[in-house]
Amino acid sequence: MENEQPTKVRKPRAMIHVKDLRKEYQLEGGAPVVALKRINLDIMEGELCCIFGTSGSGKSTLLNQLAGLEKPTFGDVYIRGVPITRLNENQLAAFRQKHIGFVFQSYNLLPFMTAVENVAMPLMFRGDSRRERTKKAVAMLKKVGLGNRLKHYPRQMSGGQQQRVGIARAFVAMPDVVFADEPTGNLDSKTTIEVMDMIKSFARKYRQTIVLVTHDPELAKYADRIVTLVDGRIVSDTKGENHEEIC
Amino acid sequence: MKVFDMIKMCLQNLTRRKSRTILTVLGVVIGCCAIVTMMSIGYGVQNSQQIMLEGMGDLTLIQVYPGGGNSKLDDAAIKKFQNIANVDVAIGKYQLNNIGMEIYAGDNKRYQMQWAQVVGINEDAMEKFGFELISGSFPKEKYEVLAGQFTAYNLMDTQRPEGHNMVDRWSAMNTMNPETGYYEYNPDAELPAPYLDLQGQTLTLDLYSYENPDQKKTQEIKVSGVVKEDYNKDYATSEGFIFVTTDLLAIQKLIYPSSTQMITYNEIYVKARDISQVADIEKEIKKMGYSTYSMESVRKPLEEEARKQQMMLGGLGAVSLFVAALGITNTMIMSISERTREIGVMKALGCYLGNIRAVFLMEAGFIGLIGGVIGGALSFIISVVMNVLTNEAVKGMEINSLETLWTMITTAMAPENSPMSIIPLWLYGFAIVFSIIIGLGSGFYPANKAVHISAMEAIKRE
Repeated sequence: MENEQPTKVRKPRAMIHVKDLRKEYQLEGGAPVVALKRINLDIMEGELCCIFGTSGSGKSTLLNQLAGLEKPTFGDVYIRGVPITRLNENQLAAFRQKHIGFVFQSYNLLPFMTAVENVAMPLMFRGDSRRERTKKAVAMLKKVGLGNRLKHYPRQMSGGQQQRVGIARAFVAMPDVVFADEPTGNLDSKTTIEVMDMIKSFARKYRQTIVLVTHDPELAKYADRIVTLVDGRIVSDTKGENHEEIC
Repeated sequence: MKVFDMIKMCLQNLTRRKSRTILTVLGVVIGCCAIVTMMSIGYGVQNSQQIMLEGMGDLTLIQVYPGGGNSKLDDAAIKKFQNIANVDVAIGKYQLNNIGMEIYAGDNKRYQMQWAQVVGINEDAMEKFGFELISGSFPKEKYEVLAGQFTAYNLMDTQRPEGHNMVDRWSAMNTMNPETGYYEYNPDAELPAPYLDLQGQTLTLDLYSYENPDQKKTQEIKVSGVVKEDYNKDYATSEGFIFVTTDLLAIQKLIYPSSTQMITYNEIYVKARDISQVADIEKEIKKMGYSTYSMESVRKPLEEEARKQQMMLGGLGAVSLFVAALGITNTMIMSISERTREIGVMKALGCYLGNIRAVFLMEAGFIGLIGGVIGGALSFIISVVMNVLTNEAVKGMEINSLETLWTMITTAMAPENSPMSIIPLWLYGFAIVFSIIIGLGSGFYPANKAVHISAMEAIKRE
C-alpha cells in the first residue's frame, strides 16, 4: 500500500514522524477550539514512548491523529514514511492491517466471539484463511498465558484476562507500531504490572514501537521516553526511568 | 475478508438478538404473504373468467362478416384467411338456397322429419372446427353427415297415434330450479330415448325448390356420427345435419342445375391457434375489409378488469411489504447504533469499508430471504385453506381419512374448478427474490450509516 505513496522516508530511523500538526474543533456557533498546537515529534523504531497528560491536555487527540483515526487540520503524520494523514479510508484500513495494532482501555473485544476469534480478527480482515489465523491466534494466546481460555467468551473472563486477549490481538499481526490507550485504566495494580510487562516484553522481542497514552504517572515509568502534553503543546520530552539505550 | 467470514459474522449478528430478528422476519413474512395471497386471488379471478368465457364459446373463434365493398365471403376469402399467420383453419358455412326438404328414415318411410337445420362445412375444417362427437366418426364417404344431438327427437313415428307420435324432450329438459323457483333449460337432464337412434342410419331426403314444391328429387345420406349441441358453432348441432360443403353443393345443383360454381358462404369462421393471437388475426382480417366478431371483445375488457383488480390487490400486499421494509431498516439502524463501538473497533483493526457494508447488507438481505421463504410456504397453506373453504366443488365432501383429505385438497386446488386463489409456481420464486431485494434495499441506508461510523468510536470512553 505504501508503495503507492510518492513520499519517501523522511527520517530513516523515525518510525513515526509528526510535522507541524494542528487540530481544531469547530464547536457549534462558537470559535474553533484548538486541541493541538503545532506538534513536531519523532518516535524512533523500537521505542516505548509515553504520551503523558491530564484529561483535556490533548493527548487523546494526538493519539487519534497518530493512528490515523482522525484527520488533522494542518500538518502530517508519517508512519514508516507513509503520510497516513493523506490516505483514504480503505488505504488506511490496509495500512492498519499491516502496520498498526491497538490496545484499548475497555479491551473492546467483540462479545459474540471467543478469545481465539477475537485475536484472529485482524487476520480475518486481512483475508487470512481460517486455519492459518487460528493457528497464529492460538500461539499468541498461549504466549499471553491464556492457553486454557481459547474458547471462552469475553464475559467469561476477568478484566485482566480480557486485556491479555486484547494484547494478543494487538500483536498477532506483527505490527510495527502498537498504540496503547490507557491499557490498564480498568485494572488493579497487580494486573497492571503484568499487563505492562507483557506489552514491553513483546515490543522488545520484535523491536516494535509502542505509543502509550496515559494520565497515570506510575504507568509512565514503564516508558523509555515521556512526552508531556499541556493544553495541546509539548511541554517536556524526557527519558523515562526504565530507559534502555536502544538503536 | 473472505465471503465465508462475512456470512458467518452476519449470522452471528442475527442470532445475537434472536427475538428482534424473528420479529423483523415476521414482518417480512406477513408482507410477502399479503402480496402472494392477494396476487393469487387475482389469478383465481382471471382463471374463473377464462373458464366462464370458455363455457360461453370457443375463445379462439373469429366470426367474419362482409364489411361492404368487395369483401365477399367466398373461397378466395377463405384462402386469404387461411394464409394469415397463426390461423389454424378458416371455416365456411354454406346453406341451401330456396330448397325445401323432407327427411325419412326406417322401413317404408316410417319415421318422418318435417324440418331440420342443414349446414355445410368445408371438409378440411370439419374436424378442426371442434365438434364434439357423442358417437360415430366424422364423414369420410360421400353423403355422410353428422347429426345434431337432439335431431332424432324431431322424428315423427307415423305408426303411432297423433299426439303420441313424437318423443317430448322439452318437458324433461325444462326443470324447476329449486333455488329460484323458475323453470330453466337444463341440457344435462336425463331424457327419454328417441324412437330411433340416428347413429349409422341411412336417411332419405326428398328435395324440392320452393318454386316447384311438387317436383321432388331424392338423395340418400348416411349419419356417420352424432355431435354434442353447441349453439356457438351452429344450430345444426342441436336439431339438424352437418354436411360436407361439396355434398351440399351437389344437392343444390340437383335442384338448380344451372346454378354457378361460385359459392358465397353465409358465414365464415376463422380459428386461431391460440387465444393470444386472436386480436392480431382480427386486425389482419379487418384490414382486408371485413367485419369480425369474437369473444375477444368480451374477453379483453374482462381481462383488463381482472388485471386492474390484481394490481389493486397486489398494491395492498405491497403496502404491507413496504411496512416490513421499514421494519428491517429500523432493526438494522437499532442494531448498528448498539454496535457503534464494535464497528469502530473493526475499523481501527483494519476492516475494509466494503466489508462492513457487505456484512450489514447481508444481514438485511438474509432477513428478506428467510421472510420470503417462510412467507411463500405460508401463502401456499393459506391458499389451500382458502380454496378448501370456498370452492363449491368440495362442498359436502367428507374427510374421514388422509386420502379423502388429499382428494379434497387437490379438487379444491384444481384450476378447472375455479379456485379462489391460484399461485403460479413462478410467484413463489418472485416472492423470495422480491423479499431479498426489499431486504437489501432496506439495508442500504443502515449499511451506509455503519460505514460512516468513525474508528474513533473505539477510543471513546463511556
